[in-house]
Amino acid sequence: MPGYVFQFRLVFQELPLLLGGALTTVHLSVLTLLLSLAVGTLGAVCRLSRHAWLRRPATWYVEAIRNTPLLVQLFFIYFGLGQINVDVPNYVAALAGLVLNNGAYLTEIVRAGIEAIPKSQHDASVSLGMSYVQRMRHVIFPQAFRVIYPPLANQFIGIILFSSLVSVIAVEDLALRGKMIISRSFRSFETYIVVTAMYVVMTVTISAALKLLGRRLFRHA
Amino acid sequence: MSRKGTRGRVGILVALLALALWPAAGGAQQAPQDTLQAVLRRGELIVGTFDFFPPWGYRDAQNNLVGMDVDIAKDLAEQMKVKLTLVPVPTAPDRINFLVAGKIDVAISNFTATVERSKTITFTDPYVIDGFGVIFNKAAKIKDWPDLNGKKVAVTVGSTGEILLSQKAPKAQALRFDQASAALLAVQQGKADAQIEDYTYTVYHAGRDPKKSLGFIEKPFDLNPYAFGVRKGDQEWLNFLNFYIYKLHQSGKMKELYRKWFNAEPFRVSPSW
Amino acid sequence: MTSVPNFVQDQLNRWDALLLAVGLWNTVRLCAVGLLIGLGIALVVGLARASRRPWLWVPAAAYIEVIRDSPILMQLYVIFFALPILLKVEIPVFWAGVAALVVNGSAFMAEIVRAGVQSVGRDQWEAARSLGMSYLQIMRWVVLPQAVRVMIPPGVGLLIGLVKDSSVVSVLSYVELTRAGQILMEKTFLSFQVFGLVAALYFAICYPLSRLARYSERRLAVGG
Repeated sequence: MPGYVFQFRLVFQELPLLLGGALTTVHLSVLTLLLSLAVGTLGAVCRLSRHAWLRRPATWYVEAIRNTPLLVQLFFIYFGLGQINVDVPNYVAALAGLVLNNGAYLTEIVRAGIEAIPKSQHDASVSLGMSYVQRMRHVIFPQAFRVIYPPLANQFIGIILFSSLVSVIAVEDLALRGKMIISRSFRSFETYIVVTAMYVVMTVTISAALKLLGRRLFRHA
Repeated sequence: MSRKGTRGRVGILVALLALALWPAAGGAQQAPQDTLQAVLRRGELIVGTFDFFPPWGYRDAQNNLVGMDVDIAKDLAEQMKVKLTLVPVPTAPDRINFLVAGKIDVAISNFTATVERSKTITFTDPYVIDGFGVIFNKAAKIKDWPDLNGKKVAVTVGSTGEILLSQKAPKAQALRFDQASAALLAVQQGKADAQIEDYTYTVYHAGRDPKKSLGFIEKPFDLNPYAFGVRKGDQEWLNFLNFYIYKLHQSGKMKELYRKWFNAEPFRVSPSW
Repeated sequence: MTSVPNFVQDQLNRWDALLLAVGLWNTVRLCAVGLLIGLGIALVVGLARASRRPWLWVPAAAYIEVIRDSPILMQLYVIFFALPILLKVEIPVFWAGVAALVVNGSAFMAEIVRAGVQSVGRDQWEAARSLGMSYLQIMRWVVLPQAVRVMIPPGVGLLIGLVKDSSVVSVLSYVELTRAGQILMEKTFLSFQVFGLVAALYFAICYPLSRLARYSERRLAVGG
């Protein structure tokens, strides 16, 4: 390769464009986290249910998602469903794909959290006359949340990183903005380094913040 | 682990940012190349084309890479008496990225020559002229370019079509895809109302849709040259390819290929004004 | 105006099945090579990470941290475009894909290696030392055999992760399974069938592996 002149300046001129993309990445990721936590909780409850008609579909869902790539899932939701006349706009498809994908992983995480609660807690709350819902809401979930918090924080980092894939279905996140800048400045090397650095900054900042939050939330024993 | 961990991570961050902010390393400008000699010595010509852009470079029923540009590449390799290796280039900007990175010897991929792109790479003389066109969903009721305002228009990142959209219909909502084929699919499925691409592309695809739901604007806009792309500082290779293109026109092979792929006469390459 | 030779393909033909097979084979190749090299690197990095010497564990920790905090898509682009400029050697698409898988997989696996190595109690180290065994001998005969037992289930999990991550290499137009699906989608517009098929093929590889992981986890469960 002939001598290459680095020109990071050309990339930094476009920082506002990149920051706009980063903002999209962040709020897409946060939305995904919240929604997939809901999906994961529902999935975990179904997986642990006595009723096979709840348990089996939940298991199929988890296995189907965890054994196929996110990229294929996104293409299927956006273009695949589009072909059978189910039109999903690109942002919705991105969100749906990310939520369904992470929902499956969170199902397993939440399930492990619930299963980590000793049976004595269940027995005690039953003896106190609590219904299933009350038991779950007031005794099991709060304790389970402590257990699932670290893997949940980890999963959030994964969500941010894998959200870069939605750039292939025209969602203007950080990755797509990076590609747009490359198409104008032709500085692929510098752009990819800067974009990667931005992802690392986001990830490290958020994971440090989550660790701090975790320590404050779970201060007592 | 926590304190050490956070400090360690901050350290890494600082290192990365320093790397990212490293000022323009005073390296040499692109040294003079001699791709012609490299190709002849290697006995192999590496050409970058698209594999998703009919009829210039695409996959046929047997999934072989075929097309107008592919035929030209084959002819060029034959004339040079070297082996041909076709490299599918993933996206429009990658034609330049691959060239600059030395992954291909020449880009023959319906490459519109523009002043902007000429700052980074060098274009040969034109081998074909094409204009811009709009392919649209008939349901979207588009007659001409201004109708695109307020509609969803699919474009390819880094294509001349993307730039044209912001000029001709600034009020349109852009859906940016990596590849023209994905953008076309979006139009076909109604996710976008229209796509801006090269004129021959719009004609081709409007004709091939089995549902006949796609239309195109009949008159091409702004005729532009397609050329081969080569690296800067590669004078001998540029001269060689320019001569090849001259012979391509002079021998009538270009007309023959154009008729084969387009069933029509090509636009005049040398305009008269 | 112009009428062009129409190429319309309404259905998938046997050539398309062949393309999917080629894509599947390339996916397997990417992951097999990636697994072999990745395990080697993970072993080295994991052992370095588990070491108490700063000149070993700091670079290892930095490597693991940076890789785990950046998207594999970006890593792939950096390896494919940036590395050749820095190292002055051309990197073909296949090897760029393998490198991205290796880099990603090894960072994940290195932590598992570290945990596996550190799970072997200190008393075993001391006992082996007192028998006069060198570091390498201890590793070979005492620590690694036990650590490997702990590492097999997550190791299979790593392979499953590699298979899924390999779909990202499609952005470089390398014809692995996902790219094969994209090519067919462009030709035929039959996205539903094509991607349904592609998903099913990925599932056919990964699901048996995940059953294997669970099975090996049960069988290799370290007692007490």
